[in-house]
Amino acid sequence: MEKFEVIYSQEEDVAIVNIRGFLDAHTAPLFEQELQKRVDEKKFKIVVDLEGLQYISSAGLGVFMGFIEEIRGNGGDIKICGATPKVYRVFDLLGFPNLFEFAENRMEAVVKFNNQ
Amino acid sequence: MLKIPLKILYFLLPVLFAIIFIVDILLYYSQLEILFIITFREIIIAVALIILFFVAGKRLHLENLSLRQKLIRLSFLILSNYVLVFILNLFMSPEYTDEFPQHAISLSAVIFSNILGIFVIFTLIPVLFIFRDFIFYRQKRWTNLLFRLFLFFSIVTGISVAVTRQPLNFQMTSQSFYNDLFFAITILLILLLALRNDWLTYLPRKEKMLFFFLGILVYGAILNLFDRVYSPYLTPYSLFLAAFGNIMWLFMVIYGGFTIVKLMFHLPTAKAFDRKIKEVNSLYDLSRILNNELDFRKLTRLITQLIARVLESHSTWLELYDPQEKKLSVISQINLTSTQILTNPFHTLDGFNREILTNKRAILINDVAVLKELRFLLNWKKDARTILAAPLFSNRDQLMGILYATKPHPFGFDVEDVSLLEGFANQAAIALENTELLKESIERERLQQELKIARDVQLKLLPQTIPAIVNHQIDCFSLTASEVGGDYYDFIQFADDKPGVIIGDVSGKGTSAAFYMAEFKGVIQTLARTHQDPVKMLSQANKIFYRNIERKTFISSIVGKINPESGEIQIVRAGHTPAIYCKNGNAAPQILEPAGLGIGLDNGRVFDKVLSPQLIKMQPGDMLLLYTDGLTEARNASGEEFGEERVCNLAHHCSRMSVLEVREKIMKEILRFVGDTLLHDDLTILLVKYDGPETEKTKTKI
Repeated sequence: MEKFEVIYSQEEDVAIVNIRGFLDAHTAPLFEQELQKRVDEKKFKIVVDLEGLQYISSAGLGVFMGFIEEIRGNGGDIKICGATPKVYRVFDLLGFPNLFEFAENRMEAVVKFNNQ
Repeated sequence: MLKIPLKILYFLLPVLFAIIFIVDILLYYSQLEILFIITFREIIIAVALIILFFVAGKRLHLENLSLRQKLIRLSFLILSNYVLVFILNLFMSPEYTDEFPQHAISLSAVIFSNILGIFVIFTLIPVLFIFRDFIFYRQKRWTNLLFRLFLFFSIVTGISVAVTRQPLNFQMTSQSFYNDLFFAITILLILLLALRNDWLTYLPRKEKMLFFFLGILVYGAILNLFDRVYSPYLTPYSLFLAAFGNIMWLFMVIYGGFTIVKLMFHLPTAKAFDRKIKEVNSLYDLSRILNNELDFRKLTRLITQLIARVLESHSTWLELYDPQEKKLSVISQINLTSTQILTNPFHTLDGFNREILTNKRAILINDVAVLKELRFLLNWKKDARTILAAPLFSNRDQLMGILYATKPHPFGFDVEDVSLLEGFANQAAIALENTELLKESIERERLQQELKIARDVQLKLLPQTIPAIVNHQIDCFSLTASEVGGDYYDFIQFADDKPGVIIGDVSGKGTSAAFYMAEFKGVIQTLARTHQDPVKMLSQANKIFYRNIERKTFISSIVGKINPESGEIQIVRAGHTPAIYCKNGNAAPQILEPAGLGIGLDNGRVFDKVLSPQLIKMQPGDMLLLYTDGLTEARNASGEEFGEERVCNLAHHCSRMSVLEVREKIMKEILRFVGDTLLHDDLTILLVKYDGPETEKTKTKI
């Protein structure tokens, strides 16, 4: 199994979930567990920071889709930031930028929440 | 054997005895001593004895009796002789001559001896059979032969005594030669048979004691039998019977003597012996029961129950080790309160447990109160004065857990219990590991089956032939990965009869991906027939799938609708990898990436807004390459990806080649790149080349 880790931190009322390494079918459950925890804690404003993420597979993309309805239904959102060009391309080809807001870095992403 | 029905024999016996009695009365009154009659009597009595032997053999069913019951019957049979003699003596005072062989002097003596003689025959035969049972308890090679020889020589000795009219006392004269010889042989046989008392070895201790003490009493009765019953009263009745009685008495004395002595030697070790038997049975039960229980949880409960039963411990519990947390926790217990479980002091690997783990042996604390460093345990659990614990190690020598057993008083367990618990712990570890292995094995088996089904579905989904499209060349290939992916390609026909090509990729792997692909194929094939516009077709497909697939799953797809006459192709890309368009000539290939969202991500609101078609007008020699991300993401041994660039480079300069040649080139290149590394995702490419107007190719089979 490739290396993968999730680092959680809080920026005011926005939860920052930084995923690093390889996100594939084997490691996706870890990412899923983290998002589930945030949802359980009623933290619906989430920024997924992709800094340090080297690879994402369709399983990883699916995790986003699994939570977005519930999160948006509770007045929150998932914003994505910090993607490398290679990783961004994967999101882009699928059309994710039409569904999620992308930012350069977490600061920008948090600002986007405050501006809503 | 003579097949004389039993009924006749039943009738015959009393008749024979009646004849003897009448003859005796007549002889008494007539004072005659005719040799013929004497011989006749002996023969009749011998015959009666043998008849009764065979009748008893058929009618006595001793197998159903327990040992105790047999011994009781034996005692009864022997004592009844005394009772009879006593009773008869109350009413009669028989008188006999002194010299051997004795004769009856009074009428009462004749009657007395007749009654006693018949009685002895009827008691000795069952006694013989009971002893036979004891001897045959553990039948060996020679047992049957020895017993038959014994019977034979008993009879022969009896005959010899009846003929020679000499007693059996080893006179060593020429007259008594045959008596002495046969008697000696019979005694030898008795000695050999007397060693066959294996039935007493495995008796429980209580029974051994009972039989010993009662046996001594009965033995006393047996010893006196000869002098009090047989010798005075049998000889006048029949020499044959007297000899037989003598032999049987000796047999009882010798066999009984051996048995009592053996019992006596068994008594001191009987308790330990019993325990060992119990242990062995328990271990056997344990491994049998353990290996039958395949459920992990039930097994842990079973382990504590069995241990508690055999060790007779007050509290018993099993702790399992979690290598990740580096802690032990109670998984099954008997007599631990919930507070005790919560405050369990044995949940770490140090202290008491460390010693167990270092030596990999069980340890026994005889009295917790005496040891300073362990006294605190009494605060935790007052009734754990004696503590016994043994480790469970897996096959690979990794700690699985520890078994604990306690008793409320000190010195509650002994050395035997320690080795027993260790043996149990080993068995338990094996059984626990087996349930884990079995589970894993079943799981693996199940996954393999799933994969096989998924692959079969996949193969059936893909088109078996490539259709012929006017003015165009089509070729394709698909490589399935080691883990089943969700690649799909197909050839469709739109409502305006224009042909189309489609490639799809379901997210995820395994059977679910394969089944979604099957659904996708069905939906697309159906929708194509009722649509001319590929954009509307995919829009419909998206609405259908958004409702029908899991949130986490989506399908990327690219469709090309072909106008065979003009060479125009309309490309619609729903989140898929871009198409590569190589123009005839030296220009670099173009990447076609019209806007589009993956199918199943949105209910249509965004999907319909984003999806945009792109129209390309192909010139003769131009080629379109559609592929899935399995191609660009294929990795070699160093983890490097094939990448978009390499694909483009391969597509370059393709105008002079046929689709077949291009396909083979790409295939060769990708296989060379990947080398021995296994593909982790399905890989599909589809090539469409426009030859220009007015060319035709025949159908090609894949």
